[in-house]
Amino acid sequence: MSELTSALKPIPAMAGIGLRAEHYELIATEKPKCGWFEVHTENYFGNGGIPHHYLHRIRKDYPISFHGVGLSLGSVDPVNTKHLQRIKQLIAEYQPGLISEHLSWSSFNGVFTNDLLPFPLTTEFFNHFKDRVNSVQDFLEVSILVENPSTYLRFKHDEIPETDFLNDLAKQTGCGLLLDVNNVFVCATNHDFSAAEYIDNINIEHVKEIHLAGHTKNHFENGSILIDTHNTVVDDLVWSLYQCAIKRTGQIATLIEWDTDLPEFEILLNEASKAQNILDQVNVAAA
Amino acid sequence: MSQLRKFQQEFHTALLDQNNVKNIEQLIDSNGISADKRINVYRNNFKFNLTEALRSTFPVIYALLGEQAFTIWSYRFIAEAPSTEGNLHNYGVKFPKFIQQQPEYSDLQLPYLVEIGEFEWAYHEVFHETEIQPIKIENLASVNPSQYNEIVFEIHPASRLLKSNFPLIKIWRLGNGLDSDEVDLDAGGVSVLIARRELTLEFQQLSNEDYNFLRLTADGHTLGAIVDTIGSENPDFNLQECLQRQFQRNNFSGFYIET
Ligand SMILES: [Fe+2]
Repeated sequence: MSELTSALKPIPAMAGIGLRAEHYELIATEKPKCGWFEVHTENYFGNGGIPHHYLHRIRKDYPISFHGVGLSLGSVDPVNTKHLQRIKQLIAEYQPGLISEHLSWSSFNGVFTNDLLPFPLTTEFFNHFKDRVNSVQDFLEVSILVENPSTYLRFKHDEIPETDFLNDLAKQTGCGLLLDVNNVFVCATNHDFSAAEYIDNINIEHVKEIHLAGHTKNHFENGSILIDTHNTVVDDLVWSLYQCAIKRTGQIATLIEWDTDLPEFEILLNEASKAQNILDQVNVAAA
Repeated sequence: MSQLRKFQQEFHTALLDQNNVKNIEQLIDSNGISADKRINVYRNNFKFNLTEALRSTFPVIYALLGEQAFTIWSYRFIAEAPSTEGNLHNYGVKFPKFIQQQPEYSDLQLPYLVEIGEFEWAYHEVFHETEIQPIKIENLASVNPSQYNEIVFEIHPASRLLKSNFPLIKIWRLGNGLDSDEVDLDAGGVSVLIARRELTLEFQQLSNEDYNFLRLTADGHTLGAIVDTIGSENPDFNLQECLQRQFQRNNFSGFYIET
């Protein structure tokens, strides 16, 4: 597995930005200062056309990572080999530095919700998920990162803390972890646990990338739920949590995710430079 | 059935059918907010995601219907023709036909809605099609003139041929905010090739002859057969000029000689 990984263009331990079609032209022509870009792999499942034209151009100037949203990794449905085959072709074509998916599932009996669904943290689910990660890595011949998702409910029959689940998954499959700090914050708020403790409990040597994004609060009669909407700036409390996290990880690839209500590219650059400043300070502290 | 399979089946059922949440509700730790409301967050997210996918493929239908009506039809469509892939590029191919079957369709007084939906789907496909170099007229130099009648041209893959009853190009431009003029619906239909060559998407408005020529070519007919068919209806059909137009517009990606 490691041989192929080393052939891919690595993602630098810098701030990066999620690449969206609205910003293709600006990025391809103006080449703004940015460490790297991340794409949703499925957005390039088409055979050609405008998305591929720009991704090829942008790939010449920047490292690229692939972030999958449609593999339905934790589903009990058979692994979709057609989907995996397309990812494998795209890996060969673009040589991404990192490839990630979610600790989640999204389909049953071939019907997709195209959303990241919650799961009971049981030994049975762990074993199933572990097998899936193994078979995906075998198929792709590359190791992947698995991201902690935002969840809006929990199950009474949970058996394993999520951090143990992720640590053991990484240890037993060789996958890396994508630590989404906003997702940790969202879950900690929704399920009343300490976000800082969650991050402390993650085996940090497995973490290869961090995500930062904005969230939204939905109000209900008896309380509120934070939703991982990716439609606004990173919350101040999430920035603080990020500072805690990178004290442990050291300098690390950090992505600004923004998917809906997309702002001017300038705003994304601002968010990225905020992350970059924090990363730079950690470097100074470590030196 | 394994516990995990049973769980996924029940959670999935609860998402798709809000009256079928009993089994899964018992498993959820409600912690202040009811299990039903928590499941509803996921239900809304998934319907929102798929509705956004349809909206980005069918912006003109969205503009014509408005958010409320579009969302109602989108939710119905999601229930009747659910997504079957983790990749959403192919989601919505049946949407134009689906809207035609809705009971409110005839009351809307938007008789061109299905045609514009098919136009938008064709545009979506062309946008994502394979990148191929078109051939030039010089590529024909190697062909022996005695074989001209046996040539079969291949239409550039980033092309879709459409014939409509309504002035779709004008409606499309209006719906995308590119024109503000009123559209004269009685102006009649168009024959059009929606084509993308490199980064440029264009609508080639076609004469009857050119439409027939491209239609027959797309169906795999030889040049000789096409000339016979079109010529029998229109003795003035000028093949040479027609071919020149197709080459100028980079409409062919290859050819072969039928033996
Ligand atoms: Fe994320």
